[in-house]
Amino acid sequence: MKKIYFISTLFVAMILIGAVGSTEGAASERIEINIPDILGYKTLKCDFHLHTVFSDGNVWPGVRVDEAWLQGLDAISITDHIEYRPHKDDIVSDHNRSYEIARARAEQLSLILIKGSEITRDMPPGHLNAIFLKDSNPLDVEDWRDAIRIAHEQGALVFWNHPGWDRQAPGGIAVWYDEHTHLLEQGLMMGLEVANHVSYYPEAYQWAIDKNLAVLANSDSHQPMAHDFQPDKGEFRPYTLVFAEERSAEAIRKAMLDRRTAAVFQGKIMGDSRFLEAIFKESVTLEVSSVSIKGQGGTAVQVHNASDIDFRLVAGKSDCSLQVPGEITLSDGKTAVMGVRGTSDTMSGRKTVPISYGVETLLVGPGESLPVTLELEVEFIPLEQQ
Amino acid sequence: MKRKMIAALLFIGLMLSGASGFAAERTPIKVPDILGYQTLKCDFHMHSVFSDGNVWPTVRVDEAWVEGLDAISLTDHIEYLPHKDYVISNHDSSYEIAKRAGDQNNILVIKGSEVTRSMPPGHLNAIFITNSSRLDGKDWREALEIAHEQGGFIFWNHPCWTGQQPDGIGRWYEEHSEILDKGLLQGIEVVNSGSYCPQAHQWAIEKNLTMLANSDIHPPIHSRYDIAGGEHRPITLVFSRDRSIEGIEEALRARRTALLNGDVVIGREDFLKAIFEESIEIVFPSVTVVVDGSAYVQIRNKSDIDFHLVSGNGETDLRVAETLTISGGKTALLRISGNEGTKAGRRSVPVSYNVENMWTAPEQSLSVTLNIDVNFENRADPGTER
Repeated sequence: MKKIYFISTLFVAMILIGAVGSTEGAASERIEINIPDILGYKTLKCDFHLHTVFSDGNVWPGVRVDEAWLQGLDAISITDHIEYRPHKDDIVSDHNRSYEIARARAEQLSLILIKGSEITRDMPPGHLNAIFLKDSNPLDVEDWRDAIRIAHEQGALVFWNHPGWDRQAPGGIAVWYDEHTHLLEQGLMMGLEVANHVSYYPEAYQWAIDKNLAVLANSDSHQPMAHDFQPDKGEFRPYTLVFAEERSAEAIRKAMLDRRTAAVFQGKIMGDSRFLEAIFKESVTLEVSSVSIKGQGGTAVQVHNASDIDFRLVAGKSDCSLQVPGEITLSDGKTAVMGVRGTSDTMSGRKTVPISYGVETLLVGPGESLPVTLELEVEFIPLEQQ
Repeated sequence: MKRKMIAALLFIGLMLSGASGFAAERTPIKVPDILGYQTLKCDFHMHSVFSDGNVWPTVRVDEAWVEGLDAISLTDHIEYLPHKDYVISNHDSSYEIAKRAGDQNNILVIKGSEVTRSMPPGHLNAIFITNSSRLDGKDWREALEIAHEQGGFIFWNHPCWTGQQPDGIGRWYEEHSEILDKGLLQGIEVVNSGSYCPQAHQWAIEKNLTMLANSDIHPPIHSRYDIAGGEHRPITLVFSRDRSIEGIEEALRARRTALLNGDVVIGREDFLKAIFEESIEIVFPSVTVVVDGSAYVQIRNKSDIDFHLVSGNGETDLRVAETLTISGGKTALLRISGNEGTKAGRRSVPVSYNVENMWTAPEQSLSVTLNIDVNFENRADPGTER
């Protein structure tokens, strides 16, 4: 009788829990994020900074997997604080538990789950995430230098979280300390967050460029994701693009070591120009590559953007043989019309005209737009003599 | 030094928890106050990590606040604790944690627990109890007795649940007669997590039980209901003398509830009629109809509930729309036209409809009458025909 009772309650619970991933309800379908694969690499969408009830977050670990799957991500790392566990009176466990609980759900959904922890100190050095850990427990030590060394010895990658977080960087301006130099010189820090939750840190982005650190953007979510970000309304969490040889944890690790990352934050991508240029080229096509223009007449060129990133173009120095729009937005998944016009009544012949723009939503440095060139083949027809 | 670090960390943690909040806006649910009572929006059945739910208790308070609810009860299972290897606590913890958050957000948090057995008697919630831990390890009859002695209000959860009734048909067992006779059963869920149980509805009417509609939510609420898109969980409307826990308890014991399940409202005829009448306003109560022509009556709906009207026994000498939807917050047009035999002159015309989405009993919808002041004119002027 007792046994029957337990089996039936188990059944009860499985059904109840099953509601998380059932077809009922608001969100049971994955959103796909369209950002093209580039340069022979797979473009993986990742969030390497998340919390659960096992530190100061408010959700069970499996929820982070469901949320990531629904929002189109490929990989996540749950990075509960080692040192800060306000729920510890009620939740008693070692530091590996949130990973272990989430793993079963991740395997069901083929989401890559990377073991991580957040090493949590005052500034300097602030908060640092270690991911690709083998065992989080040995990181629970008094001296943060020891914690980072232990993580490194496990083969983990360590990056600096929210350098410009206003709690630790008054005025929201990030400051680089000797401690960071030290970590960098010892090869113990391979990246930093240029964006975290709803904040962007231009100083950190500049350091990433100057010091060859991997750029990262992560959500650092503590609440249920839909409480903070609503993808249906175009509010995406910050996430990191990793250009990996394949869709695997090991390939992600290798890519991060090689600095093959970019940071996506509030509709903008930040990263090295070779990656951003490739994303633009793979995303954007001219529907007609060849047009003819008579005198100072005009024509329409259709430009398609296959990605989910809006490209806001602002004209740079252009070839003077064509007049082009000063600004044009190539919205995600849409085809825009670019009006072009001849500038001379007498020009004749076929030539390839380079049209130069800066892409304001692709930032190769703080405030620095990616320069791109659209090449349009034009047949210039002179006006007939009167 | 160590102490200072901990203090700093605590501060950090508080900030992290509070930093989230794009969705920090509450949207009131517009259902009118009726019959001298305040209409409170309540959910008396939900779970947290302290049983088989996937969120920290404070999340339930945040969710309730955002969605526009007034009162909730966290009703973690006494007997089913799948997280118990890590969530070490007593049965009173989820209430205590949620209560502190509720006090901050002005959400009324009612202490509750779910007594969990196979059918019969199935699952029963006890709310307004004072000590949940005392219900543990007891025979279910004894657990209900203890809850009753604590002043608990006990209701039967999801009688039609397919986990316990594979055909989805609710069955009343001797055990339920037994607890009803002993005064240990005061209410019944007619709606649970979106599913309507017609048998429970019928029993509530016949046995004078309080009707309830609850979410029984286990994951974050957004994963089941598109709250930002205007969807709601099932809600129990409580007609209370004031916005207090004592007021809600008095109202529940006096059976003063109605249920909101999507766009369906379920409850006693007097409550539903009052909701309809308080929601509806005929903007220009007097219209003129010329023979063979039409007039339009503007009907405004001040509530958030859509009303789907289908004509009942109408006037013989008047033609009105057979169906009319008066959407929440909108003003609809009701077309009225005369017949050949329509008598001239001004009079009040009762127009009868059934409100298809207001259910007073299984398969029985509310009848309402709109009194329209109509002036019929026999003016045979083709120029005025519309």
